[in-house]
Amino acid sequence: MRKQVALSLIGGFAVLLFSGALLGALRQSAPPIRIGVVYSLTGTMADSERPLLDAVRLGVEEINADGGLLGRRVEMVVADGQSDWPVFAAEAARLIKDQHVSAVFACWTSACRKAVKPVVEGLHHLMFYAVQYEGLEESDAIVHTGAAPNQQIIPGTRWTLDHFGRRIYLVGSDYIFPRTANRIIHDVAAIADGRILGERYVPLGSDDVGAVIDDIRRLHPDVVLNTINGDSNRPFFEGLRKAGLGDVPVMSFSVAENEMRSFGGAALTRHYATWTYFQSLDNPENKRFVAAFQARFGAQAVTSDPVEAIYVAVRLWAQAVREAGSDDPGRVNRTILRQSMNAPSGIVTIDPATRHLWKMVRIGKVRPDGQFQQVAATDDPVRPAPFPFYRDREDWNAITAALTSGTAP
Amino acid sequence: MRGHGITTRLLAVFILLSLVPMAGLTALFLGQFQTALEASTLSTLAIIADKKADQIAVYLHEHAENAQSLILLPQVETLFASGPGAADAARSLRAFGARGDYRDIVLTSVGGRIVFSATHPETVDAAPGGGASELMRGHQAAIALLDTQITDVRPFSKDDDRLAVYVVTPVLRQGRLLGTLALQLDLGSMMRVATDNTGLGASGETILAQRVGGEVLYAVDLPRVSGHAFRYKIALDTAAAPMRQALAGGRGQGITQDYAGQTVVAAWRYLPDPRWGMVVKMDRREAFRQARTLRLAGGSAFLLLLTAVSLAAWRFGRSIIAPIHRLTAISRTIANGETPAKITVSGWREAEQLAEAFNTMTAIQNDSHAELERRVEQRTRQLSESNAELEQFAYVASHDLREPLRMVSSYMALLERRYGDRLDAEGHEFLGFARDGAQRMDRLILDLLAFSRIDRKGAPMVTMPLGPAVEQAVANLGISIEEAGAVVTVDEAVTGAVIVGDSVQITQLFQNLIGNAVKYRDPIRPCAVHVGAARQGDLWELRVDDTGIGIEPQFFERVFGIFQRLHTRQEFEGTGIGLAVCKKIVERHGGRIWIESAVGRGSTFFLTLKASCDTSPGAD
Repeated sequence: MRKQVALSLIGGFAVLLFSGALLGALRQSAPPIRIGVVYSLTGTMADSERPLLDAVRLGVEEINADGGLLGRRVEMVVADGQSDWPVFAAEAARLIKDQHVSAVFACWTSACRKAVKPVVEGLHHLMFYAVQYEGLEESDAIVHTGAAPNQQIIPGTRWTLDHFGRRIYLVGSDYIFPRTANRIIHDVAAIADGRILGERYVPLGSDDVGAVIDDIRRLHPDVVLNTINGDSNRPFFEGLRKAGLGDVPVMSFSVAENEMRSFGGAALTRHYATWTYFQSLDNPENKRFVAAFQARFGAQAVTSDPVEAIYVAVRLWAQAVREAGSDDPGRVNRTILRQSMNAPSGIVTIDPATRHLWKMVRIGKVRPDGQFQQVAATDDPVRPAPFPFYRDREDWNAITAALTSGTAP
Repeated sequence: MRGHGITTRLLAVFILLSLVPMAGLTALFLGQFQTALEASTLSTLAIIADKKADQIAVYLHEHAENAQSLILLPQVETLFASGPGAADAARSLRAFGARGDYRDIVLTSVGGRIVFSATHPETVDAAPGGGASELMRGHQAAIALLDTQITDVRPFSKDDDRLAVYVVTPVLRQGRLLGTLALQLDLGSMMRVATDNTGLGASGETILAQRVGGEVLYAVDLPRVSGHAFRYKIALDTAAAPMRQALAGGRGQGITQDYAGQTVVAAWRYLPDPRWGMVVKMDRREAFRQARTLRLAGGSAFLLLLTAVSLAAWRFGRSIIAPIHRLTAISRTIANGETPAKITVSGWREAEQLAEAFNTMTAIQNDSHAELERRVEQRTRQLSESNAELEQFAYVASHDLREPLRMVSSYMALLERRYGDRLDAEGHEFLGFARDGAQRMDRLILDLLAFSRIDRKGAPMVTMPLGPAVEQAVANLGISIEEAGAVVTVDEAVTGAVIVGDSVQITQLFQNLIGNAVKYRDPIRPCAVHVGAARQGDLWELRVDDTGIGIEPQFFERVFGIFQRLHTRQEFEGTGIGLAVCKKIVERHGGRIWIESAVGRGSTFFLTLKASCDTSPGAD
């Protein structure tokens, strides 16, 4: 009898072991979920875009540390956009078609986004874009986790006018985002009785800011609204300081912690920025995020609005994959619209109508160390409005068409 | 393996082979069912929660769009301008408000001055009071963000519990900001839809709450804690986990605890407008009732099956062991020497075959046993017949032989008396020889007669104490013991022993043995005789030790033969029948007698007698 019992037990164990091994084999054989990440690792945008790759990496590593998604690991397939928009478009197409990635995280500039947009739309895929932008765009293939104009340009301009005066001067890089942003600033200025004293554009990457400095010295604006992108900010900030204009209030819309430090933005005494996130935010989610980011990429690593936004994009995408029970872009594209989370920047919720995030709006003053000190913020997250409501859609489209046809990207 | 019956083993095997897999499968299926039920319940709750969120969002969005359309009306501009036609404009706006089921339509200038109110004209131009603080906050946000705002939900007033919310949108004309237009919505219909618990069972609830600083303000009644909407307020960290998560922007579903500490199945969502946390839940008990029912049914079925299988195993075992039991019983009767009955077994073919084989075997055994009995009986009869004949012969012979002997003796005596003086010395000597011979012959015949009587004339066996018999024997030998100067000692064990026997013969036995010991004493060494006893199971082993001349080993058997003597009549007188009588008496008592001896040192006679059943050693 004991022999029978022993035999039954051995049989049972054998079955268990077998099924366990089978399950293990199945699990192991489950292929990883791949995501495509395209940022400029070379070229003029590399300094700005590399931290975004880091943020995606941190998000992916955290997901894998938690056991992956649907029992599968998440794997990044990284491509270099080389600061060249057609390269971005080609790489995105390659990752989707050849590497069979489940989502694409890509682009910093609007020009880049506009180049990649037709690719992901044509392939009915899913792309996450995390940089604040000029709005006036909606796509069924793109989820925006950066600020829409009503979450940055409009409230930022409004606050600036209310705090520094109505006489303003506009300076920006010469491409789509600054031009569209300034178009909106014109609207806001009109609404708020502001006067635009002057408006000037500097080519991307150019050091030639002499005319701008001259303008400011001559016009004495109450405040300068700055939409210069990239390293042209360095000569601009330096020029102001050297011209003895270091105390003129400046509101920058495209300079985050990272650039503020490297371009010397802190040299100006009344330098402000409008963002939805600052590294200096004092809440548990952000403290954890900053600590994790610096633990992974070094104590000098700096987070910023776009870095947080792309990290949030990865987390929201993961939530949507879990909820869909699949990494299929078509299915995730439906479940992603219902996601929300307690992000480092505050509670973020995807607005299904616009595919943008409800976000907090914050005004920060630049501290000597390049970090921001928050001086104002909305009470609650603000609904995204990529097409500000005060004009109808046709109006906006006409404006966009005029801007894109009239200027270089 | 030893010690377990067939039924026990069958039971174990039945349970192992049927119940254990069934229990495993049942557990597996129940687990699967529970998991599936959990998943489907959670997914149902998630769908309901999403639907509710959609309904609230759509409701608010529609009214936001209404406000954005309404500001395009020229009447709005007229009212802001306070110019001619303002009264008409006010009338048409009021009409719109009535049709749209709005509680109020308010126009506020950029500076925060109320320029029109459809239902509260008294507030126009007045500084907004405390009750309108939500409206003013909405107004400021709408101006700062240049977008439509939805204010926090509040009751209309202290006296009116109905919920209201303002939709505030900026009013622009030719790129200039005039102020804001606010629609005050009555949320009654929305709340009815949002808190409709269809599909959530009897325990279903939809909880809505918002954060106010570090506190949670509930927007619905909480029946389980008698909390009233917009009056019940608790610290954020004491709120139920799902509501805390929802208010922190979390989204999820799972099994958790509700505000009253009940275990519930819940889905929680964050609603960005109007910044509510929403928890849709039902009691776990109710949600998983089916699983519990199934578990109960599974358990009962298992118990039923356990009973059935045990019964079946027992019945099956019985049917197998019944013939075995019958065979065992019959084997016992055979072992007890009885004639077995023929067994009949029905049912199992194997059992029938076994019974048949067993019957054949017992039949054969019976036949040979009967044959053996018959032969033994025959032999015994022959033997007793010849025994009786022999005894009859001995008796008749001894009795009839004494008659002529007596005649010889009497005529010898007559011869001596009448012709004694005429005989010379030699004649007297011859006559003496003849008389001695006749006397010895008479002794021999008497001894033979006594020997033959041991079996024929013995008394019945009774329980008797051994002590008195031995004492009697010693007393009978008194004179010869005294003459020999012998010392006879008797063990206490002997005096205490109780045996089954014929007391006359037992006395005779010991008289012969002790007498023998005294008779064959060593001429030099002092004569000592000891009678001892030792209990050996249900026998008494008795011994008579002496210090006599001893017997050589080759004569150990011979001394018990009738008329067997080791010495001449001149050395020791006697007929040589004493030990033969002893042997015969011991054998009649079912015992055994034997000798151990060494020449020149003494002999020991051992014998066994049946102990009485009434006494046992140590039983005082």
